[in-house]
Amino acid sequence: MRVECPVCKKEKKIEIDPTSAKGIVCYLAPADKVCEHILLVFVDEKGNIHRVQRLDHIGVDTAVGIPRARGMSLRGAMKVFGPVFTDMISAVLLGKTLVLCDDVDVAITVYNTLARLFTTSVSLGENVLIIEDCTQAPDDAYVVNCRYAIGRGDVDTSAHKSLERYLREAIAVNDNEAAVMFVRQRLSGLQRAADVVSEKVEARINVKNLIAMIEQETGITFKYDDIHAILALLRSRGQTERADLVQMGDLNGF
Amino acid sequence: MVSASVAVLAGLAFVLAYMEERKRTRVMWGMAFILYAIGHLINSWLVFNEIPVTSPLGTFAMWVYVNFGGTGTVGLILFATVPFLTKKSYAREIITMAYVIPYVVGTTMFAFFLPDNTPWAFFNPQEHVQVNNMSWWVVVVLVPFVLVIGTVFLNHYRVTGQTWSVLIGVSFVLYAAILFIWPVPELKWLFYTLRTFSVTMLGAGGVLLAKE
Repeated sequence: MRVECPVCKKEKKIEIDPTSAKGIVCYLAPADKVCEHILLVFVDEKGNIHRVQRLDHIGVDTAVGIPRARGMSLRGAMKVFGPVFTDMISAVLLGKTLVLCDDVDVAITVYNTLARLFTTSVSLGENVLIIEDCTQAPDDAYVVNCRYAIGRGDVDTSAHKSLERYLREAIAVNDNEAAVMFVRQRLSGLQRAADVVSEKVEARINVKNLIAMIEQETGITFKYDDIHAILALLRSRGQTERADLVQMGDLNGF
Repeated sequence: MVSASVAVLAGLAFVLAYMEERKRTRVMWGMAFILYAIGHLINSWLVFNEIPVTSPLGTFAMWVYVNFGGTGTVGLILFATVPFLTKKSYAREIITMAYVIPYVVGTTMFAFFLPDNTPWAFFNPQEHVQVNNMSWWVVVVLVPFVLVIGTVFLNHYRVTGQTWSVLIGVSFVLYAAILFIWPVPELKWLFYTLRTFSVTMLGAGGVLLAKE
């Protein structure tokens, strides 16, 4: 397939495999002798190109593979999608399939935003699908109609309080890059903490001691609500029994 | 008046916590302490007007006071909090009624129907008059329930380390301890001083809860 670079307007070739495509898939077009820019090309299963954009922040010689293209700002995503944006982050964090549908242009932009928050755990075509027809979404997915910013499907809300706090604290800084980095750090921290719980907790433990143990192991500060997110992560990994070892207190949710 | 004002602030702290996160429990706690403040305002009115509590009007006003501050407040708190302790059906209603019915019936009987020297006033070390019999019944019924509420919050602190829960827990345990001096006229100043302190702790707990 031939693709025109949006920067230098030169054409470069990319190889695609439409038979393996599920919805819209993102292909990476590396720099070559013709065009020095690295491009992300969003192609649907019929071979139609939906968008070509330059990959930011990665130099020509850098090993690539992780899309880091610009999406909308965090503040913008929260304005456009409201609570549905938290649902989307929660779905990706907890490994639920997220479907972005209808307005593909918006969907690609949202995907790029999510890809910047989850550098390694979000993958188009695997846990995030972009499709035009929302009715084609898998039954167990969390489906977001990007034209109307409406979410449909069950999503575990255990992590919502922490996620909303991260987003609130992030956008308080008037610097989108810093905001993205902040949320990314916090999400990585949750995943690291879940790893620690998975490795270290073998007997019943109360949440006070658990927080102390995780903080000692990771060097990261956690709040009580973060433990809900960490336990939800464990459950999403199939470690429900491990999560159930944590005693949360009678007034949990007071 | 000071005690009532602090109780209003404590109630507003829980309303603030409700505004932060729309949980019905929090607004019920807010309402509970506003009711408590209303009870204390009635008591202030009695004191300012120097109405003897043993007079019919004084006894009636005291009955209204203890029922606002006792039935309303602790009843609402139990109703709001019991679901956190057990999910058994009707547990909230049964436990709340186990408190409210003896409290309302007892205070009403002692204040208006039973004579001064009734043998039912077995826990009254003071002069056996209707209003004293009622006041000591309030102590008998309130103390165990208040202690249980305080213990629940202290236990939550033990498990979670959340500061708001220790503030609320200590506030209730302190309240249970000082209730024994509440009916004694000579120690009213001490009761209201300590109670103002404990309600301040409660309000601080509400503020911290809102910030969680």
